[in-house]
Amino acid sequence: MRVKVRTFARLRELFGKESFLNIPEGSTITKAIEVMCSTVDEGRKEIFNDDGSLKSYFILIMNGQRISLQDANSILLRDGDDIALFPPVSGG
Amino acid sequence: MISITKDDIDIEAMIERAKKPNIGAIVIFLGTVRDNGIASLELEAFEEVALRDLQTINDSAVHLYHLQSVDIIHRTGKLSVGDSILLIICGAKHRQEAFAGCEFILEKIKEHVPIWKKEIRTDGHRWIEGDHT
Repeated sequence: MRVKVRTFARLRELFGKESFLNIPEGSTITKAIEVMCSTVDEGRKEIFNDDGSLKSYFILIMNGQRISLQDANSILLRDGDDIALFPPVSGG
Repeated sequence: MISITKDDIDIEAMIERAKKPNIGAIVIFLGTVRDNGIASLELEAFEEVALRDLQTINDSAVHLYHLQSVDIIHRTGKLSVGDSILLIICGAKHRQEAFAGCEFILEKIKEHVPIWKKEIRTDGHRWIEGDHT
């Protein structure tokens, strides 16, 4: 199946504005992000802790809705899902 | 009005628009680009989510502080020192509500809305990130 992963700010400079990933059916959000990270040297180190968990300060959105990082390991993606990952905001 | 724009903001026109017979106090916040050694500032937004968040913040502020009117305009793109970044205008019957509502909106934007600033300096650039805690 194919999903879109969008990144912003410094993550965009590292991974690009958006990636369309072909991943196995039943993959989790975490899996999709791992696949995105594999496309860039040091990409995984930027996003994941040594224990494989997502660094806690990132913010995750799926199909326009905020998702807890803890749920990234359990939510199963479907074809066409749209994920966004970004660092803490600094507007205003 | 809730807007994210690359264009400059006509602040005086917005203030005039906010004046209504039922409003006794208008509080304005204008965030500007400060000279802390930068050459310029670039702002990036996850626009569809940011607009939705701004609307939610607006609705909460109106409800909590009985505001009669709210305008929020946030700029993106490349800005120079002195340029306007964010305009918030709150109109209320009384000043206490207008001040409190404006502060609420500003703090919520800073805490929550997906917009980021990048400082451009002569020796490189640095993304500003919010509190990691």
